[in-house]
Amino acid sequence: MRLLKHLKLTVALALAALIMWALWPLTASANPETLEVTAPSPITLGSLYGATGYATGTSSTSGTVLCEGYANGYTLKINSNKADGIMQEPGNQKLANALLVTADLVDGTGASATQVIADDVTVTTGLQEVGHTTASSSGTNNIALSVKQAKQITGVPGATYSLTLTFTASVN
Amino acid sequence: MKKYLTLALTLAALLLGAVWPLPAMANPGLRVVGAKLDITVSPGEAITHRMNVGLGKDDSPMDIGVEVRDLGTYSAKNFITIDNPSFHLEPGQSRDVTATINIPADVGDGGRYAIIGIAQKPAPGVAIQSLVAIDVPILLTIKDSHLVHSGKIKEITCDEVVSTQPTVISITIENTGNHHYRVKAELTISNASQKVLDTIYIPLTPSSIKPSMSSQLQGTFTPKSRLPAGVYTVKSRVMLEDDTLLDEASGSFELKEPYGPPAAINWPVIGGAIAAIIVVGSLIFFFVRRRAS
Repeated sequence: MRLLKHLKLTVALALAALIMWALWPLTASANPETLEVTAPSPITLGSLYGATGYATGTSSTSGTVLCEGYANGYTLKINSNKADGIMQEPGNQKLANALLVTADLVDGTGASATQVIADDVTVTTGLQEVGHTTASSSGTNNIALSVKQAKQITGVPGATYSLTLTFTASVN
Repeated sequence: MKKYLTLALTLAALLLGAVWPLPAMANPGLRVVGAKLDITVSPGEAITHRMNVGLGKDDSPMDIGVEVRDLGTYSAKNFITIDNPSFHLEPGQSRDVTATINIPADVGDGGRYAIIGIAQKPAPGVAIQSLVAIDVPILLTIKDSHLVHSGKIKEITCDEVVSTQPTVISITIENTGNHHYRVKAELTISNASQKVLDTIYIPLTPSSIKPSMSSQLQGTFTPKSRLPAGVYTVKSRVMLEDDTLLDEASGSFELKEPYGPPAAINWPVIGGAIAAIIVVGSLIFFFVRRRAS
Protein backbone atom coordinates (compact mmCIF):
# COMPACT_ATOMS: atom_id res chain seq x y z
CA MET A 1 0.00 0.00 0.00
CA ARG A 2 2.84 2.36 0.98
CA LEU A 3 4.70 1.41 -2.22
CA LEU A 4 1.64 2.33 -4.28
CA LYS A 5 1.45 5.71 -2.58
CA HIS A 6 5.12 6.38 -3.41
CA LEU A 7 4.51 5.31 -7.00
CA LYS A 8 1.57 7.69 -7.31
CA LEU A 9 3.67 10.57 -5.98
CA THR A 10 6.57 9.74 -8.29
CA VAL A 11 4.27 9.66 -11.32
CA ALA A 12 2.68 12.95 -10.28
CA LEU A 13 6.08 14.60 -9.81
CA ALA A 14 7.31 13.32 -13.16
CA LEU A 15 4.23 14.71 -14.88
CA ALA A 16 4.68 18.03 -13.05
CA ALA A 17 8.30 18.23 -14.21
CA LEU A 18 7.23 17.47 -17.79
CA ILE A 19 4.58 20.22 -17.73
CA MET A 20 7.06 22.72 -16.28
CA TRP A 21 9.66 21.82 -18.90
CA ALA A 22 7.11 22.35 -21.65
CA LEU A 23 5.86 25.67 -20.32
CA TRP A 24 9.14 27.22 -19.12
CA PRO A 25 10.00 30.34 -21.14
CA LEU A 26 13.22 30.39 -23.14
CA THR A 27 14.41 33.69 -21.70
CA ALA A 28 18.11 32.90 -21.59
CA SER A 29 18.49 32.27 -25.30
CA ALA A 30 15.96 34.86 -26.41
CA ASN A 31 17.98 37.87 -25.32
CA PRO A 32 21.70 37.15 -25.04
CA GLU A 33 24.24 39.65 -23.80
CA THR A 34 22.01 42.59 -23.04
CA LEU A 35 22.36 45.37 -20.52
CA GLU A 36 19.40 47.59 -19.72
CA VAL A 37 19.19 50.52 -17.36
CA THR A 38 16.19 52.54 -16.32
CA ALA A 39 16.75 55.70 -14.36
CA PRO A 40 14.36 56.64 -11.64
CA SER A 41 11.77 58.98 -13.05
CA PRO A 42 12.48 62.66 -12.43
CA ILE A 43 12.56 63.45 -8.75
CA THR A 44 9.77 65.53 -7.33
CA LEU A 45 10.96 68.24 -5.08
CA GLY A 46 8.12 70.67 -5.37
CA SER A 47 8.35 71.55 -1.71
CA LEU A 48 11.72 73.15 -2.28
CA TYR A 49 10.32 75.89 -4.43
CA GLY A 50 8.94 78.90 -2.63
CA ALA A 51 9.45 77.34 0.77
CA THR A 52 10.25 79.46 3.74
CA GLY A 53 11.97 78.57 6.97
CA TYR A 54 13.70 75.31 7.70
CA ALA A 55 12.01 72.05 6.97
CA THR A 56 12.73 68.51 5.95
CA GLY A 57 11.29 66.75 2.93
CA THR A 58 11.99 63.44 1.23
CA SER A 59 11.21 62.31 -2.27
CA SER A 60 11.72 58.73 -3.43
CA THR A 61 11.64 57.03 -6.78
CA SER A 62 13.09 53.87 -8.24
CA GLY A 63 14.59 52.41 -11.39
CA THR A 64 16.06 49.10 -12.48
CA VAL A 65 19.07 47.55 -14.13
CA LEU A 66 18.83 44.25 -15.97
CA CYS A 67 21.91 42.32 -17.05
CA GLU A 68 21.61 39.20 -19.16
CA GLY A 69 24.21 36.88 -20.61
CA TYR A 70 27.37 38.40 -19.12
CA ALA A 71 29.28 36.12 -16.77
CA ASN A 72 30.65 38.81 -14.46
CA GLY A 73 27.58 40.97 -13.94
CA TYR A 74 27.75 44.76 -14.02
CA THR A 75 28.55 47.87 -12.05
CA LEU A 76 26.23 50.80 -11.60
CA LYS A 77 27.61 54.27 -11.07
CA ILE A 78 25.82 57.50 -10.44
CA ASN A 79 27.14 60.85 -11.46
CA SER A 80 25.58 63.90 -9.88
CA ASN A 81 26.41 67.27 -11.26
CA LYS A 82 25.02 70.67 -12.03
CA ALA A 83 23.87 70.96 -8.44
CA ASP A 84 24.09 74.67 -8.32
CA GLY A 85 22.21 77.92 -8.35
CA ILE A 86 20.70 77.58 -4.90
CA MET A 87 22.45 80.58 -3.39
CA GLN A 88 21.26 83.38 -5.54
CA GLU A 89 20.84 86.07 -2.95
CA PRO A 90 24.09 87.86 -2.12
CA GLY A 91 25.12 87.37 1.46
CA ASN A 92 22.99 84.29 2.02
CA GLN A 93 25.79 81.80 2.10
CA LYS A 94 24.36 78.88 3.98
CA LEU A 95 20.65 78.82 3.46
CA ALA A 96 20.39 75.44 1.87
CA ASN A 97 23.35 73.22 2.23
CA ALA A 98 22.12 69.74 2.85
CA LEU A 99 20.45 68.05 -0.03
CA LEU A 100 21.02 64.35 0.48
CA VAL A 101 20.67 62.06 -2.48
CA THR A 102 20.98 58.41 -1.63
CA ALA A 103 20.75 55.36 -3.81
CA ASP A 104 19.94 51.91 -2.55
CA LEU A 105 20.90 49.10 -4.86
CA VAL A 106 19.27 45.84 -3.94
CA ASP A 107 20.06 42.72 -5.86
CA GLY A 108 18.16 39.50 -5.49
CA THR A 109 21.42 37.62 -5.84
CA GLY A 110 23.34 39.31 -3.09
CA ALA A 111 24.75 42.77 -3.73
CA SER A 112 23.36 45.58 -1.70
CA ALA A 113 24.67 49.05 -1.13
CA THR A 114 23.34 52.31 0.13
CA GLN A 115 25.35 55.38 -0.55
CA VAL A 116 25.00 59.09 -0.23
CA ILE A 117 25.78 60.31 -3.72
CA ALA A 118 25.42 64.03 -3.23
CA ASP A 119 25.45 65.67 0.15
CA ASP A 120 25.70 69.31 -0.67
CA VAL A 121 23.94 71.10 -3.47
CA THR A 122 26.72 73.63 -3.68
CA VAL A 123 29.31 70.99 -4.52
CA THR A 124 29.61 69.25 -7.82
CA THR A 125 30.26 65.62 -7.13
CA GLY A 126 31.94 63.11 -9.36
CA LEU A 127 31.15 59.60 -10.37
CA GLN A 128 30.25 57.35 -7.47
CA GLU A 129 30.06 53.60 -7.63
CA VAL A 130 26.88 52.46 -6.03
CA GLY A 131 27.22 48.75 -6.28
CA HIS A 132 27.72 45.82 -8.51
CA THR A 133 26.40 42.38 -9.01
CA THR A 134 28.17 39.21 -10.00
CA ALA A 135 25.09 37.45 -11.28
CA SER A 136 26.26 34.56 -13.39
CA SER A 137 23.81 34.89 -16.24
CA SER A 138 21.27 37.53 -15.41
CA GLY A 139 20.36 39.89 -12.64
CA THR A 140 17.97 42.69 -11.90
CA ASN A 141 18.72 45.49 -9.50
CA ASN A 142 16.23 47.91 -8.13
CA ILE A 143 17.59 51.36 -7.48
CA ALA A 144 15.68 53.24 -4.83
CA LEU A 145 16.59 56.87 -5.00
CA SER A 146 15.64 59.26 -2.30
CA VAL A 147 16.32 62.92 -2.05
CA LYS A 148 16.13 64.45 1.36
CA GLN A 149 16.22 68.14 1.91
CA ALA A 150 17.37 68.95 5.39
CA LYS A 151 17.29 72.72 5.19
CA GLN A 152 15.19 74.78 2.88
CA ILE A 153 15.77 78.06 1.29
CA THR A 154 14.41 80.92 3.31
CA GLY A 155 12.17 82.65 0.88
CA VAL A 156 14.73 83.88 -1.61
CA PRO A 157 12.67 85.27 -4.48
CA GLY A 158 13.31 83.47 -7.72
CA ALA A 159 15.80 81.05 -6.23
CA THR A 160 16.15 77.88 -8.26
CA TYR A 161 18.64 75.12 -8.55
CA SER A 162 19.38 72.25 -10.87
CA LEU A 163 20.43 68.69 -10.31
CA THR A 164 21.23 66.10 -12.94
CA LEU A 165 21.79 62.50 -11.97
CA THR A 166 23.19 60.11 -14.55
CA PHE A 167 22.81 56.38 -13.97
CA THR A 168 25.56 54.57 -15.84
CA ALA A 169 25.69 50.80 -16.01
CA SER A 170 28.60 48.87 -17.48
CA VAL A 171 29.41 45.21 -17.82
CA ASN A 172 32.26 44.07 -15.55
CA MET B 1 -4.97 8.23 -14.01
CA LYS B 2 -7.22 11.24 -13.68
CA LYS B 3 -6.12 11.52 -10.08
CA TYR B 4 -2.41 11.59 -11.05
CA LEU B 5 -3.01 14.22 -13.68
CA THR B 6 -4.89 16.45 -11.25
CA LEU B 7 -2.12 16.09 -8.68
CA ALA B 8 0.55 16.72 -11.33
CA LEU B 9 -1.21 19.82 -12.63
CA THR B 10 -1.63 21.16 -9.10
CA LEU B 11 2.04 20.55 -8.32
CA ALA B 12 3.17 22.09 -11.61
CA ALA B 13 0.99 25.16 -11.03
CA LEU B 14 2.35 25.59 -7.52
CA LEU B 15 5.98 25.15 -8.59
CA LEU B 16 5.63 27.38 -11.64
CA GLY B 17 4.03 30.08 -9.54
CA ALA B 18 6.92 29.93 -7.10
CA VAL B 19 9.85 29.86 -9.51
CA TRP B 20 8.58 31.50 -12.73
CA PRO B 21 11.00 34.26 -13.78
CA LEU B 22 9.83 37.79 -13.12
CA PRO B 23 8.18 39.35 -16.15
CA ALA B 24 10.18 41.77 -18.25
CA MET B 25 10.04 45.32 -17.01
CA ALA B 26 7.16 47.42 -18.23
CA ASN B 27 9.60 50.21 -18.79
CA PRO B 28 12.92 48.68 -19.80
CA GLY B 29 14.69 51.98 -20.45
CA LEU B 30 17.91 52.16 -22.44
CA ARG B 31 18.99 48.77 -23.74
CA VAL B 32 22.27 47.83 -25.38
CA VAL B 33 22.97 44.46 -26.95
CA GLY B 34 26.72 43.93 -27.29
CA ALA B 35 27.63 45.94 -24.19
CA LYS B 36 31.22 44.66 -23.92
CA LEU B 37 34.06 43.76 -26.24
CA ASP B 38 36.97 41.77 -24.82
CA ILE B 39 39.07 40.22 -27.60
CA THR B 40 42.55 39.45 -28.81
CA VAL B 41 43.60 41.40 -31.89
CA SER B 42 46.59 41.43 -34.23
CA PRO B 43 48.64 44.51 -35.16
CA GLY B 44 47.33 46.01 -38.41
CA GLU B 45 43.96 44.28 -38.09
CA ALA B 46 40.63 46.08 -38.61
CA ILE B 47 37.57 44.83 -36.74
CA THR B 48 34.02 46.02 -36.17
CA HIS B 49 31.83 45.82 -33.09
CA ARG B 50 28.09 46.20 -33.57
CA MET B 51 25.90 47.43 -30.72
CA ASN B 52 22.14 47.58 -30.87
CA VAL B 53 20.72 50.48 -28.87
CA GLY B 54 17.01 50.44 -28.14
CA LEU B 55 14.11 51.65 -26.04
CA GLY B 56 11.09 49.88 -24.64
CA LYS B 57 7.62 50.32 -26.11
CA ASP B 58 6.44 52.28 -23.07
CA ASP B 59 9.49 54.54 -22.85
CA SER B 60 9.67 58.21 -23.62
CA PRO B 61 11.47 59.33 -26.78
CA MET B 62 15.13 59.95 -26.19
CA ASP B 63 18.06 61.72 -27.84
CA ILE B 64 21.16 59.56 -27.65
CA GLY B 65 24.82 60.55 -27.88
CA VAL B 66 27.70 58.11 -28.45
CA GLU B 67 31.29 59.03 -27.65
CA VAL B 68 34.58 57.22 -27.25
CA ARG B 69 36.58 57.89 -24.08
CA ASP B 70 40.00 56.90 -22.74
CA LEU B 71 40.28 54.14 -20.20
CA GLY B 72 43.72 54.60 -18.66
CA THR B 73 46.98 55.46 -20.38
CA TYR B 74 47.00 52.41 -22.68
CA SER B 75 44.26 53.98 -24.73
CA ALA B 76 42.48 52.57 -27.75
CA LYS B 77 40.43 55.73 -28.19
CA ASN B 78 42.21 56.85 -31.33
CA PHE B 79 41.72 53.45 -32.96
CA ILE B 80 37.92 53.67 -32.79
CA THR B 81 35.44 55.45 -35.03
CA ILE B 82 31.66 55.44 -34.50
CA ASP B 83 29.31 55.46 -37.48
CA ASN B 84 26.31 56.85 -35.62
CA PRO B 85 27.39 59.28 -32.89
CA SER B 86 24.05 61.02 -32.38
CA PHE B 87 20.48 59.90 -33.02
CA HIS B 88 16.92 59.99 -31.79
CA LEU B 89 14.94 56.99 -30.61
CA GLU B 90 11.17 56.69 -30.45
CA PRO B 91 9.50 54.21 -28.06
CA GLY B 92 10.08 50.63 -29.19
CA GLN B 93 12.75 51.67 -31.70
CA SER B 94 16.33 50.45 -31.90
CA ARG B 95 19.35 51.40 -33.95
CA ASP B 96 22.65 49.75 -34.69
CA VAL B 97 25.82 51.56 -33.76
CA THR B 98 29.00 50.17 -35.28
CA ALA B 99 32.46 50.82 -33.92
CA THR B 100 35.26 50.29 -36.41
CA ILE B 101 38.54 49.54 -34.68
CA ASN B 102 41.77 49.89 -36.66
CA ILE B 103 44.73 48.43 -34.81
CA PRO B 104 47.96 50.17 -35.86
CA ALA B 105 50.72 47.92 -37.16
CA ASP B 106 53.10 49.36 -34.55
CA VAL B 107 50.60 49.15 -31.66
CA GLY B 108 53.12 47.65 -29.22
CA ASP B 109 52.67 45.21 -26.35
CA GLY B 110 49.95 44.50 -23.81
CA GLY B 111 46.36 45.68 -23.88
CA ARG B 112 44.58 48.73 -25.25
CA TYR B 113 41.41 50.10 -23.66
CA ALA B 114 38.55 52.49 -24.26
CA ILE B 115 34.96 53.15 -23.28
CA ILE B 116 32.16 53.69 -25.77
CA GLY B 117 29.70 55.82 -23.80
CA ILE B 118 26.07 55.60 -24.94
CA ALA B 119 24.08 58.19 -23.04
CA GLN B 120 20.75 59.94 -22.99
CA LYS B 121 21.18 63.64 -23.73
CA PRO B 122 19.84 66.03 -21.08
CA ALA B 123 16.77 68.04 -21.93
CA PRO B 124 17.53 71.76 -22.03
CA GLY B 125 16.00 73.91 -19.30
CA VAL B 126 14.92 71.08 -17.00
CA ALA B 127 16.04 71.75 -13.41
CA ILE B 128 16.01 68.23 -12.01
CA GLN B 129 16.44 65.21 -14.21
CA SER B 130 17.64 61.64 -14.15
CA LEU B 131 19.49 60.32 -17.18
CA VAL B 132 20.54 56.86 -18.24
CA ALA B 133 23.77 55.74 -19.81
CA ILE B 134 25.55 52.52 -20.66
CA ASP B 135 29.34 52.37 -20.89
CA VAL B 136 30.61 49.71 -23.27
CA PRO B 137 34.11 48.62 -22.21
CA ILE B 138 36.51 47.84 -25.06
CA LEU B 139 39.37 45.57 -23.96
CA LEU B 140 41.86 44.65 -26.66
CA THR B 141 44.72 42.26 -26.01
CA ILE B 142 47.51 42.48 -28.58
CA LYS B 143 48.19 39.01 -29.91
CA ASP B 144 51.65 37.50 -29.36
CA SER B 145 52.81 40.59 -27.47
CA HIS B 146 54.58 40.70 -24.11
CA LEU B 147 51.86 40.92 -21.42
CA VAL B 148 53.06 42.38 -18.12
CA HIS B 149 50.93 41.69 -15.06
CA SER B 150 52.40 43.75 -12.26
CA GLY B 151 50.92 45.86 -9.48
CA LYS B 152 51.82 48.00 -6.53
CA ILE B 153 50.00 48.52 -3.25
CA LYS B 154 49.81 52.28 -2.94
CA GLU B 155 48.02 52.57 0.37
CA ILE B 156 46.71 50.59 3.33
CA THR B 157 44.21 52.37 5.53
CA CYS B 158 42.15 51.34 8.52
CA ASP B 159 38.98 52.95 9.74
CA GLU B 160 39.04 54.18 13.31
CA VAL B 161 38.85 51.17 15.57
CA VAL B 162 35.83 51.39 17.84
CA SER B 163 35.37 48.79 20.55
CA THR B 164 32.80 46.08 19.74
CA GLN B 165 32.57 47.32 16.12
CA PRO B 166 34.12 45.65 13.03
CA THR B 167 36.91 47.64 11.36
CA VAL B 168 37.21 48.13 7.61
CA ILE B 169 40.73 47.81 6.19
CA SER B 170 41.26 49.18 2.68
CA ILE B 171 44.07 48.50 0.23
CA THR B 172 44.62 50.52 -2.92
CA ILE B 173 46.35 48.58 -5.69
CA GLU B 174 47.61 50.12 -8.92
CA ASN B 175 48.06 48.15 -12.12
CA THR B 176 51.66 48.98 -13.13
CA GLY B 177 51.71 46.48 -15.97
CA ASN B 178 50.43 46.72 -19.53
CA HIS B 179 47.46 44.34 -19.35
CA HIS B 180 44.28 44.12 -17.29
CA TYR B 181 43.65 41.59 -14.54
CA ARG B 182 41.40 40.78 -11.58
CA VAL B 183 42.87 40.49 -8.11
CA LYS B 184 42.21 38.98 -4.72
CA ALA B 185 43.92 39.74 -1.42
CA GLU B 186 44.87 38.38 1.96
CA LEU B 187 45.19 40.51 5.11
CA THR B 188 47.04 39.21 8.15
CA ILE B 189 46.58 41.04 11.45
CA SER B 190 49.32 40.65 14.07
CA ASN B 191 49.99 42.11 17.49
CA ALA B 192 53.24 43.72 18.74
CA SER B 193 54.78 40.31 19.48
CA GLN B 194 54.08 39.15 15.89
CA LYS B 195 51.31 36.78 16.96
CA VAL B 196 48.81 36.39 14.12
CA LEU B 197 45.33 37.32 15.34
CA ASP B 198 43.36 36.84 12.16
CA THR B 199 43.64 36.37 8.39
CA ILE B 200 41.05 37.99 6.15
CA TYR B 201 40.52 36.88 2.56
CA ILE B 202 39.18 39.34 0.00
CA PRO B 203 37.62 37.51 -2.96
CA LEU B 204 38.39 38.12 -6.63
CA THR B 205 37.28 41.59 -7.77
CA PRO B 206 34.19 41.59 -10.02
CA SER B 207 35.82 43.86 -12.57
CA SER B 208 39.37 43.93 -13.87
CA ILE B 209 41.90 46.68 -13.16
CA LYS B 210 43.18 48.31 -16.33
CA PRO B 211 46.83 49.41 -16.70
CA SER B 212 47.68 52.67 -14.87
CA MET B 213 44.39 52.48 -12.97
CA SER B 214 43.87 51.73 -9.28
CA SER B 215 41.27 49.78 -7.39
CA GLN B 216 40.38 49.75 -3.71
CA LEU B 217 39.85 46.41 -1.98
CA GLN B 218 38.19 46.20 1.40
CA GLY B 219 38.19 43.63 4.16
CA THR B 220 36.47 43.66 7.54
CA PHE B 221 38.37 42.81 10.71
CA THR B 222 36.29 41.69 13.68
CA PRO B 223 38.53 40.69 16.61
CA LYS B 224 37.44 37.43 18.17
CA SER B 225 38.83 38.23 21.60
CA ARG B 226 39.63 41.23 23.76
CA LEU B 227 42.65 43.22 22.49
CA PRO B 228 44.81 45.43 24.70
CA ALA B 229 45.66 48.97 23.62
CA GLY B 230 48.67 49.16 21.30
CA VAL B 231 49.82 49.12 17.70
CA TYR B 232 48.73 46.25 15.43
CA THR B 233 50.24 45.30 12.09
CA VAL B 234 48.30 44.61 8.89
CA LYS B 235 50.24 42.64 6.30
CA SER B 236 48.56 42.58 2.94
CA ARG B 237 49.22 40.38 -0.07
CA VAL B 238 47.53 41.05 -3.40
CA MET B 239 47.40 38.21 -5.89
CA LEU B 240 46.18 37.40 -9.37
CA GLU B 241 43.41 34.85 -9.90
CA ASP B 242 46.01 32.04 -10.20
CA ASP B 243 47.61 33.03 -6.85
CA THR B 244 50.61 34.77 -8.46
CA LEU B 245 51.77 37.40 -5.98
CA LEU B 246 51.50 40.96 -7.32
CA ASP B 247 52.68 42.90 -4.28
CA GLU B 248 52.79 42.80 -0.51
CA ALA B 249 52.96 45.63 1.99
CA SER B 250 52.40 46.34 5.65
CA GLY B 251 50.40 48.94 7.49
CA SER B 252 49.26 49.40 11.06
CA PHE B 253 46.50 50.71 13.24
CA GLU B 254 46.54 51.86 16.82
CA LEU B 255 44.16 50.90 19.56
CA LYS B 256 44.09 53.74 22.02
CA GLU B 257 41.79 51.83 24.34
CA PRO B 258 41.32 48.09 24.87
CA TYR B 259 39.01 46.52 22.31
CA GLY B 260 36.11 44.34 23.37
CA PRO B 261 34.79 41.91 20.74
CA PRO B 262 31.16 42.18 19.61
CA ALA B 263 28.76 40.47 22.00
CA ALA B 264 28.34 36.85 20.96
CA ILE B 265 24.85 35.50 20.25
CA ASN B 266 23.70 33.59 23.31
CA TRP B 267 22.41 30.47 21.56
CA PRO B 268 21.58 28.50 24.76
CA VAL B 269 19.25 31.28 25.92
CA ILE B 270 17.64 31.69 22.46
CA GLY B 271 17.26 27.89 22.10
CA GLY B 272 15.80 27.63 25.58
CA ALA B 273 13.26 30.36 24.85
CA ILE B 274 12.18 28.67 21.60
CA ALA B 275 11.85 25.31 23.38
CA ALA B 276 9.79 26.91 26.16
CA ILE B 277 7.43 28.50 23.59
CA ILE B 278 6.97 25.13 21.84
CA VAL B 279 6.29 23.33 25.15
CA VAL B 280 3.82 25.97 26.38
CA GLY B 281 2.10 26.07 22.96
CA SER B 282 1.78 22.27 22.91
CA LEU B 283 0.37 22.20 26.46
CA ILE B 284 -2.24 24.84 25.57
CA PHE B 285 -3.14 22.93 22.40
CA PHE B 286 -3.60 19.60 24.21
CA PHE B 287 -5.50 21.27 27.07
CA VAL B 288 -7.95 22.96 24.68
CA ARG B 289 -8.34 19.72 22.69
CA ARG B 290 -9.13 17.64 25.80
CA ARG B 291 -11.70 20.16 27.00
CA ALA B 292 -13.36 20.27 23.61
CA SER B 293 -13.71 16.46 23.52
